[in-house]
Amino acid sequence: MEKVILALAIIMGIFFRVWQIDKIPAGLAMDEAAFGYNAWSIATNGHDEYGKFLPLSFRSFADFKLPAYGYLTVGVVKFFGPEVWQTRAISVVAGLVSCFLLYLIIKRLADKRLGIIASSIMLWSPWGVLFSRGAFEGNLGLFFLMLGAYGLVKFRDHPKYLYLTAVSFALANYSYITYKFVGFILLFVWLIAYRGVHKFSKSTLVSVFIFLIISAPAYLSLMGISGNNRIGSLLKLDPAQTGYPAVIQLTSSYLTYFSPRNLFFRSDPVRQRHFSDLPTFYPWMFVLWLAGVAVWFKTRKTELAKWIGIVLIVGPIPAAISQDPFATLRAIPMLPAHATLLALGAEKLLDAVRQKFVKRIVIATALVVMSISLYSALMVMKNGQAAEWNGGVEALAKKLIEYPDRTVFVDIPHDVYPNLALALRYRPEAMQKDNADFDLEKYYSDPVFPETIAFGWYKVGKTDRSKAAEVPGALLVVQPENTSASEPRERGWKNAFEINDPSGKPLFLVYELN
Amino acid sequence: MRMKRGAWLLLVIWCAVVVGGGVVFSKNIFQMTNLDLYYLNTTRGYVENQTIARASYNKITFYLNHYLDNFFAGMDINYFFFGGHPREVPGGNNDFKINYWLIYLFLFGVYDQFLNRETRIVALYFITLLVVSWFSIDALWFLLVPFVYLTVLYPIRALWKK
Repeated sequence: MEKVILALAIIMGIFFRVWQIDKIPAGLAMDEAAFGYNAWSIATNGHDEYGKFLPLSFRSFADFKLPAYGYLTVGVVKFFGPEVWQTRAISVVAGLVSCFLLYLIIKRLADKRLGIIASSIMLWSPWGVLFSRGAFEGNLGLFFLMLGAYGLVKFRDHPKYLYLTAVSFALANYSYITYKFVGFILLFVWLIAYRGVHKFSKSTLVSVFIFLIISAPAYLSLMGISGNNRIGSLLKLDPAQTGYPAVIQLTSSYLTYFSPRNLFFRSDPVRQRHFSDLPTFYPWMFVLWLAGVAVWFKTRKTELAKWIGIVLIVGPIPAAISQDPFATLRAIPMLPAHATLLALGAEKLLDAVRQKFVKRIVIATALVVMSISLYSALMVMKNGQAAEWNGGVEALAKKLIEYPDRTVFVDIPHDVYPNLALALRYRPEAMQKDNADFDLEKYYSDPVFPETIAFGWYKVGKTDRSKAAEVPGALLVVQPENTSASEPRERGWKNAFEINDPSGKPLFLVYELN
Repeated sequence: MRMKRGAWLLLVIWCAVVVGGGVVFSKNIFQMTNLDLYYLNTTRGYVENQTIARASYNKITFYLNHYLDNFFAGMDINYFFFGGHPREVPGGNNDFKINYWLIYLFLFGVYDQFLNRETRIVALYFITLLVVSWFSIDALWFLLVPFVYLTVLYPIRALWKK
């Protein structure tokens, strides 16, 4: 019976991570689309959208995306084409394998049972499900981090496992900026914390050397404009700017990652980083968390408790120094440790129940409640959060194709251009030709991203609507909130069509300007 | 932990005071505006299976959410020390209830209580919070503050004894 429940939990957990992956989230976040388009571009001729041959980081919106996710997506896009699920496939697989790695880690540090509970909690957690369903490079980084952590716990069995750690942590550095700090700190904190357990040998030094060699370009890039651009957008600790002493800002920010309010009730405030009405873990799991903290404190000298402690302490550091409050993507290294803490609590509480059938009923009820919560959240994401995920761009592209050889002014934020290019299946070679004016010498050093992006017949970004109306046959795409009801009438625009979200709310209004 | 009869009586009186404070100073979680109702119906409309929609979004889940909103606010250290500042809530305003430098003593106090298995302050805080959450924590937060200060003072008292 236990095996049936367990199999059901795993199958359903996987189901919620892959179900309607091309429709939920409804659309592609701008970063997802940028990864998808650049992967398609590399798969086509080895050059990115700007025409740079195999770049070390993708220039994209002059935010210099780290390369691992893009390059891993190349293979998927090459074989299956540049569509939504192909863009997300790597993240889905990384999320699932991370859960399995957590099982292996906990099995090694404690026992099989706790490993199963912890990995199931991670599999079902809204935190894990959300970032696994989107093309989030942070989720891929988590996979590398987990693989590295697995190497660390197996290091005791065989020193060569440290090579796995070194390579994985180094690859994490190319996945997401957070890991440039987390992997490095984790590796050294771990080696210091376990100095009595591990036998240090030549392989330890070789591993550190491998890590540093592979990571060197990633760390060096932090010193360039591409790195500064990314870090500059994260750090804002100047008291004159914020009105609070830096130490207080850091403390409060750091503590938000341990606050039950954020973990079990309130979600990440940033769009595309949350389910509506569903926090990072289910609210009822707070009870498990309390029990887990008590067990952790009681067993704080064990290897498992040390592992949880190290990951929880180090995990939120990069997120805490960023300007966003409770940034769940940056703090995702904490997810496995929080899941293990919850598993400790769950195990303790289950052990307190003596009758087997009561245990089964409790677990089955938990599965039903989680299924209902996740299904509802996914439905709301599909039908109610389309605007947050640039939903409707696919439908917009399909309609725009019906208006060939017409200049289209897309007066929406310029960073939606990869979404449109991907939805239009705009050939990468053509995009590279459109970007031929860009000086590739400045690929990594020019921090400017233009306000309007032009490709083919499309001009995406800030639009001078009066001038646009002078272009014969021009079309204008606007979002309802960026135009008044009277503007089309006053300017004499003709209604061409509109794109609505699944609930019927308009997402894009398209006008013929003359 | 066995409690004396007098302690029980004091606890009941304290809870009555908290409930009284709630009735006098605060709205309760069962108040629902037209906007809330609109939000509830709209969200329910997004879920394709209406049976699950009704199970997920109904008046009971709405009240429960209000209760949990209060409860988890009381479980958030930042609520007292940095409440609502922009690092925690985008666009939030500074609403310090307790001087934020005391946070370090508070954290040490919590750790010290854990170490000494001292549960009285935590238990009283929880009981008060469970009652306050039926009303509005933003109106009744002052009833919780004594326990926060007791935690801040806890390690100092221990040092004094030594």
